Amino acid sequence: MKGKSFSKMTWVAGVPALLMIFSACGDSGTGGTGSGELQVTTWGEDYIENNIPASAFEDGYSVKYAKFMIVLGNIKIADHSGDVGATMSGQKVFDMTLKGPHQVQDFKNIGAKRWDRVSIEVKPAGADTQAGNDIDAKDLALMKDNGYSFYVQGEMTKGQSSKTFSWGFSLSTEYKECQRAPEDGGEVGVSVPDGGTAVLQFTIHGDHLFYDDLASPDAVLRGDAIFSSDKDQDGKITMDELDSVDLSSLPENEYGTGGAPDVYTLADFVKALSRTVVHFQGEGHCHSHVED
Amino acid sequence: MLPKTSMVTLNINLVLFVLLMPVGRGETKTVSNSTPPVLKKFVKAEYPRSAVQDKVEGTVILELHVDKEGKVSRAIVIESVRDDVDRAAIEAARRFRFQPAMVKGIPVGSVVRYESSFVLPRDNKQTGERKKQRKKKTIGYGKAEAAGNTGKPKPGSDSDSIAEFTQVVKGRRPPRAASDWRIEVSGRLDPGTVSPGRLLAMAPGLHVAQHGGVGKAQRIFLRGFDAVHGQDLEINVEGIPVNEVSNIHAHGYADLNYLIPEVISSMRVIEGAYDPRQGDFAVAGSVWIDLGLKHRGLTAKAGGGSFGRARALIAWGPRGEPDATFAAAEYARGDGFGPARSWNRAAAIGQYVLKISPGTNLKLLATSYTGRFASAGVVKEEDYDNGIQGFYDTYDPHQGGLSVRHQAMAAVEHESNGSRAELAFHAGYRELRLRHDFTGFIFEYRPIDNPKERGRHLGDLTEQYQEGLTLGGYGSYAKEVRFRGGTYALEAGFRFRHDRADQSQKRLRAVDQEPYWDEIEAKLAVTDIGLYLDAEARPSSWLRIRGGVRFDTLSYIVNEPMEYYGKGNRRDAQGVHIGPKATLEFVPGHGLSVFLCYGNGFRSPYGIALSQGERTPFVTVHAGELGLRWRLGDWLDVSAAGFFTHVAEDLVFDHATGRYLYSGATSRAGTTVSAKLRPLDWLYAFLSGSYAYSVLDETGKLLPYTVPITFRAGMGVKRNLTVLWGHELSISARLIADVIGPRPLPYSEETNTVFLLSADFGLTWGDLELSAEAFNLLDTKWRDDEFAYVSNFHNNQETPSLVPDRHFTAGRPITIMAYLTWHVF
Amino acid sequence: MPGANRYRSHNLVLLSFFSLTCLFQTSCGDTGEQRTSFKMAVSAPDDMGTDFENDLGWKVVLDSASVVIGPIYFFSGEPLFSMSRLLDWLDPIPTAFAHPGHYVAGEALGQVLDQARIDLLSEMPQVLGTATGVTGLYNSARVYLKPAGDDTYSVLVTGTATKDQDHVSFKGELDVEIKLEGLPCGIHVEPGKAGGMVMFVDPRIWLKRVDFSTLAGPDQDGYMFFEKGTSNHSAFSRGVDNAGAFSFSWK
Repeated sequence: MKGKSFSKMTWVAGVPALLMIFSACGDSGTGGTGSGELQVTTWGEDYIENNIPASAFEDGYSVKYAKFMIVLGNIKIADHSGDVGATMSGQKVFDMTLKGPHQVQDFKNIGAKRWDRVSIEVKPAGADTQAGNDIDAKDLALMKDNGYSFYVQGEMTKGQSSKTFSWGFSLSTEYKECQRAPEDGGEVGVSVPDGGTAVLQFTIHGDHLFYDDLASPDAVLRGDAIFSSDKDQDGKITMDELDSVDLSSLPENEYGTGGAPDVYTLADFVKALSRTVVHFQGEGHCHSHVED
Repeated sequence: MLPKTSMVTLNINLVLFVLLMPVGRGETKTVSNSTPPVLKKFVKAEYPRSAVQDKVEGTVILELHVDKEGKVSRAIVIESVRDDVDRAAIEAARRFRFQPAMVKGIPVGSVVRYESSFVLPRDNKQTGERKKQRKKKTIGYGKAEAAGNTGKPKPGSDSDSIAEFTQVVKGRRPPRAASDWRIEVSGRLDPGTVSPGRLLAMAPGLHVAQHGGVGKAQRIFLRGFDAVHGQDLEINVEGIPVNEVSNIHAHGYADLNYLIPEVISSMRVIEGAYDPRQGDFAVAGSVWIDLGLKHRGLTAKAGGGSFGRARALIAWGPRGEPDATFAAAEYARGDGFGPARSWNRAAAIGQYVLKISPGTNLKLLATSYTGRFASAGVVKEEDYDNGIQGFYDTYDPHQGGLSVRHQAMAAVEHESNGSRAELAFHAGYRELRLRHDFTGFIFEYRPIDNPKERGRHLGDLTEQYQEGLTLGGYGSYAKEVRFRGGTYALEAGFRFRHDRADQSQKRLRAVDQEPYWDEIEAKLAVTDIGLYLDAEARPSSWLRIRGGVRFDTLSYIVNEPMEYYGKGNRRDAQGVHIGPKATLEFVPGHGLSVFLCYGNGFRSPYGIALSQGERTPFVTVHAGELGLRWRLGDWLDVSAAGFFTHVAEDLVFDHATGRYLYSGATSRAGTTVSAKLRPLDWLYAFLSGSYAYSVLDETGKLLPYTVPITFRAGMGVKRNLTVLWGHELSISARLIADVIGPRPLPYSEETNTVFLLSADFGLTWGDLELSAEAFNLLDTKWRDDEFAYVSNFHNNQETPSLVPDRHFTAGRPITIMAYLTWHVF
Repeated sequence: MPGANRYRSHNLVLLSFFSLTCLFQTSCGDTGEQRTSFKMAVSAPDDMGTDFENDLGWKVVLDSASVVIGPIYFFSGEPLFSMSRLLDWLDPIPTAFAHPGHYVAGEALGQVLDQARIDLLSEMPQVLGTATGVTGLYNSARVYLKPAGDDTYSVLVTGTATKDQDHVSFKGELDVEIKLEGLPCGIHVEPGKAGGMVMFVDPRIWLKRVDFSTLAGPDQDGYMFFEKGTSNHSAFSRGVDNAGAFSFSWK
């Protein structure tokens, strides 16, 4: 009988196979399979590289940093489903007073997609910690020997008087789920374009050490309490001297501790503030997690 | 001239409103003042020897496509007997010659239904050796008498079928899946008026809510998808896309309110994404609407009803022109069923089909619409329970909107023996302003430059504004060939659209509705160019294979000038999506069809959420289905399908903040069942139900806001009563019951189950028609839409409630409308 | 991409399974969290007696300690610092902050809108009210201490403090509204969980850094009091502000 030119078996077997092939090649999802480059940088901005001018302070002080060293490490670029795009496991010390931005890590071949779980750690320098930018060998040794994660040295000035300070912090903090500021779009993480380069910057805000409140969004910069803590009048403000200033001796509307437990002295206060200097892409922030 | 037993019957176009016919896309209009095809040359089929030996007999039902020249271009087996017998019937039928059908003297293509009976010789009926065939008229409406030898219908034998047959302008495309329905709309005897939203809701499994007032796009639910205002349902009208790409209020916003229901001739609903012609937003499925005015002459219609509703309509279909040529204009208004619900709108649609040459038509379409409406917003469930807020009350009477749409299209269609081509271009302008207040006083004002104002709650009334232009076009070429006894068709086509939009979102002060905060300002330029290839093979009568692939290139330029302190944030992205689709249809016979389908579709992303250089600016959808279709004559049509859909990165719309969130991959599985019965020619019934189970892949939790269960049942009558004072008097009535099962809400709660009863009634006497429709006959207090989120309407800053609470929008109470329609000439 | 093909084998099977078992139950799965309510009680920590010694060597005996609390809100946002273990009064842990004002509360999960005066020296925890909300991880809390009803104060504490030869009968009173943000909570409220939440308020922390020798007074009732503007008032007020005075537990 005419018409039976295609055997039924061929169709029954062949068509599902065709469907499989088609479905496989159609699956492109939203992740993309391209790749690009991600540069992770850090920058201290004008406040650290130059100075914090008196106009920024509520009480007319100005601050110039001679050294502003921070240990950055353990960078992880991942997405919310757990896929890890790239990591940097070691630690690097950066002196933010040097002209930046400074490159922390350059991930040359990272998947071209949105990475919305970006994290970084600030931890005490260890034996393996390296210099991130052109810091002095002695400064690197200072960080390692003392186990500092963060160290500042500078000068506070008001009018004719000025005092120096040098403070080292050994706190460990993890900064995760970094997100841009709402006025910059509020983007969570970073998006790497296919065949292109994206830049991710951990911006260090040098003025945070001088805020006068731990919780209020209307905190301002103040210098008086810190300046006046120099008990022995030797022109150097030490961490111990800060620790001798009980917050209760300061005006009640200043140095509010918000919802923070056990912040009693000016040293406690500045230490708490030291964890807040790391920002993301300018004004953005990350969730900070205490590790020590 | 013709043997006594050679009858040709006419395919009766089922003119009733809710009778769903799976005949695929194409324009099927019924025309009056036309003549059916007449059989000129009849060829007797040869009874295959193998069939005689096997004692196989039966009636093969064929659908014959008669072209403008009277030749049979296609013969499709509707009901099969056996391979060899079917082939014999087809071979003979293909050699028939007709005088083609005519519309006002112009030959047109048509479809006829033909039954070829093969009866084995019986001792007392026929002589031994010669095979006999007997052709009889098809069973329709219970009338079995023959219509005469000449192939013309007997006048007055069936009032519904007087000179009615299907006129084919575009080629017919068979259904793609078991859940591929065509809803015939326009009909002289249909009562009442139907809004586009309720029209959509006629498709099985499709549920529509109207929470924003008459004038806002409907909220659509289908197959476990909360398509919001259209993000998962592709809607085209005459090929022009209705969905707005990246609309400021909702992605894929599909405002159907510009359509005048009386000029909708049919609607094809494809659930699933199995057709390569389906493009952006076809995640849950597509709806393709064709326009046409069935009644020729001038029609005037006016009516009114509950809550100050009034509507006036004028429609004109020039006699002698096809149904696709018409002009219509309407004005409608209403006070609304509660405070802050008034609305009014005006719309005009005109379409003109010009015959350029035999087989070639030029179609010109223009539409214009403006509608303004007030919206009552939500009521907090707690406030209603405590008697603080009435069921129909509003917290903020300043909500509402204005929607404007103007568009024009020019299309050329050409059909010749075995091939079909079309080319169209369209351009549209659209403006939308919406004001809504879902939360009261939650938004905290934090101006950077004015610390004193920080933390204040000035009111959450949000204004969203969008203005834009859409340019687009489409074209295709299809050809059918016969090869070695099988039929094969190939179609290639393209669709493109370019959308430009300026959009903004601001917060308005509660005291004086002045803007105090600019939340979003964006400009978009979006392009989507799609190419598709579609092939169909019918190697034997029991198997149909359809497959195709669609390529789409999407590109975006997004600019947000306010970001980065005024420096602006401009970004671009482009990507390609490849979407294969395939359908296998097995036709074992006895009116049965089994479908196995797979489709890979996509949805464009929300423009503002895009980042620079995204390589794949779209979301991939995988859909699969196994379905069954069973048709017995004209009186039974049953379909059942089980489906599965996976979306790679789904969008969840947060009404409270007006933001889109990518929720992650989602999966849905379910079934849809529908049945249509027509036990008597004047009585019909239908029921349909759907169930869908939808989860978020990452957590396995149920997706909130989807509709797991819908059920609809209805019955109707349509009958000529008598002839009164020289004019025919006929009546039609219909009763529909809808059940919408409890929908999951966030926090593991459920909405209330909704039960609604609606009815239509119509009385036609000559050129006059009196119709009435009642919605929500039982006047139940029902919740149209329910949400769970945080709100603070009483500006209670002392101890405000900050946890999410349930909110609802009130559904319409009993609404009755009555109309008088006069077919002037 | 590794994740993309997961759904084919894994989720497809799971989904079919769920579909079959859930065929006739629309709420077979859940959409995430559920609405819940539970009792909210407040008390002083279990280990508190009525006498203790503060940081400046004063031995203090409390006669009364009451606070007007309410409303309380619980949020999904992590507190201004995340702790690896709950705060332990005996072993204070250094604090950390993300940024002044950058505490992101996130979604409000639960709330107690009642206000009541709580006697912290009472034996049993006192019920503040019923908390309503949804289940989930209550990461942080916002607590208001403010005068309400007949009470003109938000915090009131009386007692005696002794150091060497000095014996002071004192009264500490604040009448301002105090809002404490981002207090660490970390309690996972589960559906159907029996019991309720207890917030511990430790009045000893309020007086931790107070030097009772320089109080003002005596006032008409014979108490020495904290005068506004003095460092003692500041120490007391900062003590009340100290998040270390608050902790949460489920009982």
